[in-house]
Amino acid sequence: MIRVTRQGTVFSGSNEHLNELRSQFNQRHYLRFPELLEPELLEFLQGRIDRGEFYERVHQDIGPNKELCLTGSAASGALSCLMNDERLFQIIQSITECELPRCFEGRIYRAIPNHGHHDAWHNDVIENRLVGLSINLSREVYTGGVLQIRNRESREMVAEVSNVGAGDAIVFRLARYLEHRITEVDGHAAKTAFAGWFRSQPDWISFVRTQIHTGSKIRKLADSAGCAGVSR
Amino acid sequence: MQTKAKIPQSIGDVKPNPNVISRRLGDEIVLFHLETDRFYELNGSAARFWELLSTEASPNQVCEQMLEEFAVDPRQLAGETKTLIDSLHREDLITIDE
Repeated sequence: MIRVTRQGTVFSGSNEHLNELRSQFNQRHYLRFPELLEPELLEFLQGRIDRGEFYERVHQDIGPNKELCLTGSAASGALSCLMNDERLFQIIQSITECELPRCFEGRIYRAIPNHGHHDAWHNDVIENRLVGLSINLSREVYTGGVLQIRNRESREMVAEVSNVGAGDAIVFRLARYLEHRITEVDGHAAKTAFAGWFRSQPDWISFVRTQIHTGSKIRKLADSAGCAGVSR
Repeated sequence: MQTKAKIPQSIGDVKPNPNVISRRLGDEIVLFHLETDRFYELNGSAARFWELLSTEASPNQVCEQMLEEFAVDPRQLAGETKTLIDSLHREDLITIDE
């Protein structure tokens, strides 16, 4: 069991369990982490998301797509902080055999049934992205909104996975020979998820620092200069 | 033998604010305040101070531990710790029971 908590990421399995997960990821190109977010944390985040606002967003450089993206909510910053964890990076590297991630970049999005919200086929192999991840933050069980993965050349579907368990996460492979997409949500319930990529560059702190120039809120409270003469 | 770094008695029980999430990355710790939607960065000894404070140690216990780990004058450490506590409190990153 892998769980992201306020205190940090916890892995409670053995090395054998880790080997099994690695083998599954190799075969399927994805893995499910049940209840990656602890329930108390999920409930807190859902409350924050309820208070936030969504705007319609279209991603550039891929086929037709549309989603609602959350803005002005502490849920985004909280998830960013929670997911940028060295222990989690080590676990992801161990399971997926990718380069050691140094950053996780994600956004909270929502797909409403019958609004054309979906993602077209693309592979995300840009900007030092290593592995994809999506965490289900939805309050209700939705239908549709499925992650599909196919071989880029043959177009043979290699995986199709829904992620409707509260706080569950799907980790999936990014590779030049693969593409993935998210289908439209049908039924009545909306899908809300935190999705993004583990990246090899930049490191997260550098990434967060760049947000200063884009209006985000980071403040440097103290640095080694503030403790002159103190050294390890 | 070094004398102990004593924090002024006027500072009470100091704890991390439960609405603050922290993550260590290398030598630094990033704090995120869930109420103010604001990130903070703690470097070097400030990061270590936060880490020790998170173990429910008192400021004096934290200072004693830091004296073990850092080559620093006890009075200087006490002064810098007081300044850091003031900064953390001003940003609502810690709670102080007076």
